[in-house]
Amino acid sequence: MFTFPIDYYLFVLAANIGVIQIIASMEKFHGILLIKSIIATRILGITISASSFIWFFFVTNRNVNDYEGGLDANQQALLFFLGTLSAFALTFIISSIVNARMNNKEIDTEQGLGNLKHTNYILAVKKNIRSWQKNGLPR
Amino acid sequence: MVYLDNKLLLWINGLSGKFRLLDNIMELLASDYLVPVLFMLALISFWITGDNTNDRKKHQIGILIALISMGLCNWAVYIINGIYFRPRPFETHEIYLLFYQPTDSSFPSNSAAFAFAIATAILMINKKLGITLYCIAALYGISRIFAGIHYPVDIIGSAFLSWVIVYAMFKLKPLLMPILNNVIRVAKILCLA
Repeated sequence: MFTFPIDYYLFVLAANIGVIQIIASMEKFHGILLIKSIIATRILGITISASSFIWFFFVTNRNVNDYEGGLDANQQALLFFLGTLSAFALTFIISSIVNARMNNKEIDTEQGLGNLKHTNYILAVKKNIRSWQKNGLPR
Repeated sequence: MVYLDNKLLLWINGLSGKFRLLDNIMELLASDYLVPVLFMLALISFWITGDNTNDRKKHQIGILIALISMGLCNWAVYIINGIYFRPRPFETHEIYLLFYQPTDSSFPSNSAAFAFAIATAILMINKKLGITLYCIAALYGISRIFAGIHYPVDIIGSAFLSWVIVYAMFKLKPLLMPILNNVIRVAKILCLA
């Protein structure tokens, strides 16, 4: 247990990592999976997300007014944004290490997220940036 | 209208304090964090999913409109709260309170406006998910009446406000498309769209 804002940030971070893994496993975005097996990734995603909810809501009372230690709407929005950003950053970094060998030579910038089916995140972005410099923004 | 509003409030809130399990479920549902986080996670999932690039783009444009509508709804609620102050039900009635005591105006409900804005916008592009979110938004509203912090009209007013704003945003969609398209094009470079 930390302070309320840190608890909320960690909750959002973990819930997001779990959800990203569940969706990545369903959409077969192999490039951002933290574990190579689709089924194991889905179980991991559900476990992380569910645990984050249980930890945040059931360990202590969260019905707290903002002037008594809770969060006001603006703080909540900001922390949610930061938590989500951190979750995506962490997922992209770790999955790029885990899937370092996943490198599809044919990258189609128009596909965006679709490229993550065959290429890890860092390589896909690298190729997209090169294509952008050469051909401009995708349609 | 006020009579009906009070009557409905007392009937719904009258159910609280009777069944421990129901109280716990409603207290959790009425929380400032559960439904908002669930809705945002639903938007993130919906952003990533799609049968093909075009399908995904349709989802992403809908989500961007949902987020703009949500911002406008919160802004509209802020203005209405500044003009008209309605005391919370626990200040004017002897009711069972399952929540902390908020100090801002009761009408319209900011939390309900947020939930209904997202649900309405998603309903415009995906019926299945939209109806699910609508049901959760309605339950969220009911739980806040049950908890004793809102009148039924606060929730209905928020739903109506959200519907008007989301509908207007979808009507203005052609004007917004150049900006939304550029956001998605840049996101594609970063493999985020």
